[in-house]
Amino acid sequence: MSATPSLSKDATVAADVGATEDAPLLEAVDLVKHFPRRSGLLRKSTSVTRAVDGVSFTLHRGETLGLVGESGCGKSTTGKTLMGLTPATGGQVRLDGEEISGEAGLHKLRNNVQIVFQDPYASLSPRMTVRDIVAEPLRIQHRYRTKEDGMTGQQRVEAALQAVGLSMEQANRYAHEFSGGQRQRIGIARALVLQPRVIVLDEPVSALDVSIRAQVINQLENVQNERGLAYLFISHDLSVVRHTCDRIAVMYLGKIVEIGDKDEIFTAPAHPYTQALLSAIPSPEIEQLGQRERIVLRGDVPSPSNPPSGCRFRTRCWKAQEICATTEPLLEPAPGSAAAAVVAGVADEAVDPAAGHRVACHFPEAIDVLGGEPVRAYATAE
Amino acid sequence: MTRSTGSGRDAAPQRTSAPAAADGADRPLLVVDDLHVQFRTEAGTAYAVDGVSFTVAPGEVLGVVGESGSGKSVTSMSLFGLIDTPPGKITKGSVKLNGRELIGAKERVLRKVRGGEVGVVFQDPMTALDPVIKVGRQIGEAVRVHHKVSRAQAMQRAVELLQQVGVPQPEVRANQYPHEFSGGMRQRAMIAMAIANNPVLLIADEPTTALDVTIQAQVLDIIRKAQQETGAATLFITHDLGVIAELAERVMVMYGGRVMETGSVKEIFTRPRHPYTAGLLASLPSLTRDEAELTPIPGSPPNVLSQNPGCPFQPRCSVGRDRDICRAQRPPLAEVGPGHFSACHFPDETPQPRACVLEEAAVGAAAAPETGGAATDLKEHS
Repeated sequence: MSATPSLSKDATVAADVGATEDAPLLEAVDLVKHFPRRSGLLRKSTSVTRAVDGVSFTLHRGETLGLVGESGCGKSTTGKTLMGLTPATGGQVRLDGEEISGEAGLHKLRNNVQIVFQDPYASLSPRMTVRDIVAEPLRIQHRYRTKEDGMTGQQRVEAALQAVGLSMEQANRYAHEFSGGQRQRIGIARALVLQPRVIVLDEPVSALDVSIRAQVINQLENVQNERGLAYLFISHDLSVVRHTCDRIAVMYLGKIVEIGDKDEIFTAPAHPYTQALLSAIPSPEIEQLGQRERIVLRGDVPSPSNPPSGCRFRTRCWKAQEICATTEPLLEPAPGSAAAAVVAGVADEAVDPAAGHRVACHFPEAIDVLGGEPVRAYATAE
Repeated sequence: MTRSTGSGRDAAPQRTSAPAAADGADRPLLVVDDLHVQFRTEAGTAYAVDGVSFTVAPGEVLGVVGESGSGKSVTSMSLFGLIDTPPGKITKGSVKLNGRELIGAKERVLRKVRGGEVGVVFQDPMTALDPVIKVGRQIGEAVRVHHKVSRAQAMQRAVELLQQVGVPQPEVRANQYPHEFSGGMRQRAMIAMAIANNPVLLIADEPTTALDVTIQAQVLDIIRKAQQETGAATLFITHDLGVIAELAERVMVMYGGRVMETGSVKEIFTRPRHPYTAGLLASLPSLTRDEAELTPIPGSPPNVLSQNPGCPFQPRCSVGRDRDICRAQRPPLAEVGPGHFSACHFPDETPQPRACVLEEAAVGAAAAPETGGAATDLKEHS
């Protein structure tokens, strides 16, 4: 895991020198979050849950990066650690190339990066009116009483509510008077009111019914287009991620196993885990996807407090060999990607090897699973 | 109310005859006719199930799909006396299993049916399993309720059943408590319990909703195998259209306590004949196609506290929003194709899935105002 952060560091420097427009807005560098497990009378730390174990990515202005994976893979913890909602065990978060640290850093971070939570019922106070809920971040940041862009705090609250399609009449009501979809809009308005540049969306539509989900997704896209926001979109739902994201990072047991443009991930997935995920999503598109191979993975996800040695996916992988147990695969340019051609010396070095489609596997192979290309996983041999 | 009941009755004989004709001399295993279930709440009477009729043929997998509040779970619970009275009450209708009437049957009879002829798998295995009794004993108990066997024999059968549903080391696992099982393993234990007495009908109520994609694939596989081995007909209830496509042959779409459309999975997913089904399909992001914007269903789900004299989907429907007949008259479930029934006054005007709509729009502008209208309406609603 040691090579990756230095790679992305180089990338930042290169980008800074090249064009400031391309400089990442937000960067996670080798982010680590371990939760100690305490037990016994003295509450001694007996083991460590490695929720996030060296995660690096960049987020550019106006871009949506999807963070996908199953429960326990660390995607939500990554979002929370990034926001400083839980202190990181290691690594850095950089905003505009500057490392976030201390009180001042956190202040800057919160004014620029906001979050929308999954559960629209638990995340809104039942004792506050919608107006107060949305005004609260401004008050906490001492920005409610100041004028910004010629607007008072109250006017900015109203503008945020309007941006998500809520009326002023609704602003004086309480959260319980709203449906799930409307509550999620209130949560989005609360995130917007500080005029952040990045919003972390932690499973923003997972708790909503299918017919309402599309309304909220469209709303999020409208707001993004109007304000040039960057989104970190955390979700387990690959079809939602395909629709909303420009780039996608797939996580497994606290690590990114594959990252790339949406099209690369969906048409040329190179990590066996990504392939298994894509093969297993149930879809009503029976005409388009009826022919794809179904991979039914063996076993459960191992415990993050005792992850397998080497590659963490090896216990469920049909390609696993000896090297997978001894050596951890690094995130490297995926076969067939432009960056792989650079590494191989067959293309110009105009492509940044740390930015393109990368995969952490000893035996990567791009297979168009959704297009019906066979994977020949173990499950089908049986 | 009299009229709507009448139309429900009219539809029922048509529906019962359809599968019978398809399967030759086969008598349907389960016949539900004009079922009404109401709940008394502080806010008034909730019409949770409002005239539902359907049949299940022996060995058939019928998928029931709907959003929260559509009545899909209440329907399945009320079939075998699983709703609490009060507040719930079956006010009308008939449920026949193998020709035997179950509505109004004695509790003693129903107890024999449940767990015997009918096995049930619930969404949340942690609440369905007793946390202080070992898993093997719980499964054994299910056997002992219906058969005179010794405890040791029941335990042996439990181990066999755990093996059948793919639980590794079944002898060890049978001696463990539910909290020692992972979510996927618990759901397997539930399935083992449901098939313990070789049921003729399996009811699965959102059995994979709480599970991750790769674990869901495993459990769906197990249900499919269990269904094939026991030959049990299956009523599979879910909000996930993709899961239905994966597992069921026939699907029933519910909304506002009523059946909107029913037919073969292939027919309904490729050529829906009810605007609600079409709306659901259109609001899902695609796994294979890029789309600029999703097409949500405008508005919010119906209030079950007031009984709608017309079609419950009318206020949100692009076809019936401005039509008096849709507002005032309940559309009967009428045959629109072989084995395909739709409860819509204008099934021929159902907007077709996006691929078809785009083609039509290219030819003539006929389809365009419809989609455009829906989009503008969302903004008005929100």
